[in-house]
Amino acid sequence: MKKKDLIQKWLDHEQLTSTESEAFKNLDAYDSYVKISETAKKFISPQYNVEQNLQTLQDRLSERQKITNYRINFTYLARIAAVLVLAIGSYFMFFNQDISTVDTLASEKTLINLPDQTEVTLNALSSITYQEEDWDDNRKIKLEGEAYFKVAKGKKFDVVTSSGIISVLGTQFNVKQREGFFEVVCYEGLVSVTYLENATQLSAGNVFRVLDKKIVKTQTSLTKPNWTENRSTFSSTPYKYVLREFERQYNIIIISKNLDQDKLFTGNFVHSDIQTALQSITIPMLLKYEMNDNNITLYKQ
Amino acid sequence: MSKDLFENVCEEKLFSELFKKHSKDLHDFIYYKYGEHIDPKDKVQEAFIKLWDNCKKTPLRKAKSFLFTVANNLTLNELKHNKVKLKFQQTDHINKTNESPHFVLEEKEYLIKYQNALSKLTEAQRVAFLMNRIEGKKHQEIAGLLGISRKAVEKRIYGALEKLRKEIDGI
Repeated sequence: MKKKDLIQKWLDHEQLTSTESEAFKNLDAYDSYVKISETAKKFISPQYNVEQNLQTLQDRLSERQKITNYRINFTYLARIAAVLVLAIGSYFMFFNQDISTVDTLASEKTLINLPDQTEVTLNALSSITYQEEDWDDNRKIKLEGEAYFKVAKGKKFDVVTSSGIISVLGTQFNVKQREGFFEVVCYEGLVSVTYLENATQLSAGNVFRVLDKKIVKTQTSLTKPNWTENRSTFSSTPYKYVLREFERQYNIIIISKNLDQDKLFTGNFVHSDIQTALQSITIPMLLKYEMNDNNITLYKQ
Repeated sequence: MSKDLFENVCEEKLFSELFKKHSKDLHDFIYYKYGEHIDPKDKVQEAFIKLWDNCKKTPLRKAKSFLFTVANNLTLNELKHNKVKLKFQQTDHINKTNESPHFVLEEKEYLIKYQNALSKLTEAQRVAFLMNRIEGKKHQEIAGLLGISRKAVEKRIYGALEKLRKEIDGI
């Protein structure tokens, strides 16, 4: 047996046969080998207590579990927060981005200056909505109710109502859009009224009116709508629209008994004095009225 | 080939068993390889924590090699081949009173020489040699632990023995 194999056999903790043992002991370095082997044992690793270390590990793991749980919760919260920020942010970005709305209550009027010095006078119970962002490039207003526009010169200016679209370049006009009633009056310049996809050019002093889906074109000699001077004027207007306007201006309810509300009315009423105003709309129609609180009852004489 | 009874080691009881079975060997492996100053106990803990983190991905049969590799890598990350110093346990000497001071001194010198010689072995040689001599592990066992062939273990241990002898005897 070769020396190396012999030593390796000894190293592998195998029982040497007596001859092998003899041969091993006769090796020159036998003493060295044994001493090296024995001394190695002095380098034994420090005592390692499995149970105790297992306990430590389990403590560490459960400790960490808490931390990770906490961290997961935190990231979870952070995600929710991020989503909320995005949602709210995009809401403001896309839906609420500089969108301005102005409303008026009954018997209230207001004057609005748009970013380009266009003046809008809003009659009672009306509302306009417009986007302040790139106003100069995109002049578009949504209107419900009645408003008088003094448009500054500039690009195309659109007034969108549920009845039609009015487009102008720079002019003064009044738009009245009430239930079943749509009226555009041009006081200066030229406006284009698109009603049911038909565009009509309207020059100064002309009136475009749609009553119960019938288009009527008349004229006016006024230079601005009377209502801006606290007076409502009507010419050949069905009486019911007069009454609705009266209700808006005085914030009251009118009850009418056996009246023909389609009779045409020409005349006006003031916004400042309800007694005078009532007289101006009842006397020409040969009506009488009774007032109690917020109710006015009209009846035939 | 044995079938995987356990697809992963996430079971707490199984994990504890793994610890009981391997932690000492792992600890000794790290100690023999890198010495005491890197805190082998802590490396064992960290390796097992890593195993727990990856318990879903680690089938039982791979757990042991996972642990040894991770502990080794953790240690390597911490130190790039610092000089290894193994501490010899002095408990033996204290009890011996019948030795002459001369012998005690010689013995001490021998130990210091031995310590230096040990640190000059390659890590691979030292680990295999000390496992073999101190733990009394057979070549086959060590081969299994280190994931190498039995022949390689024999070579390492024999090489270590010869190298130590040359260092110590000054040949």
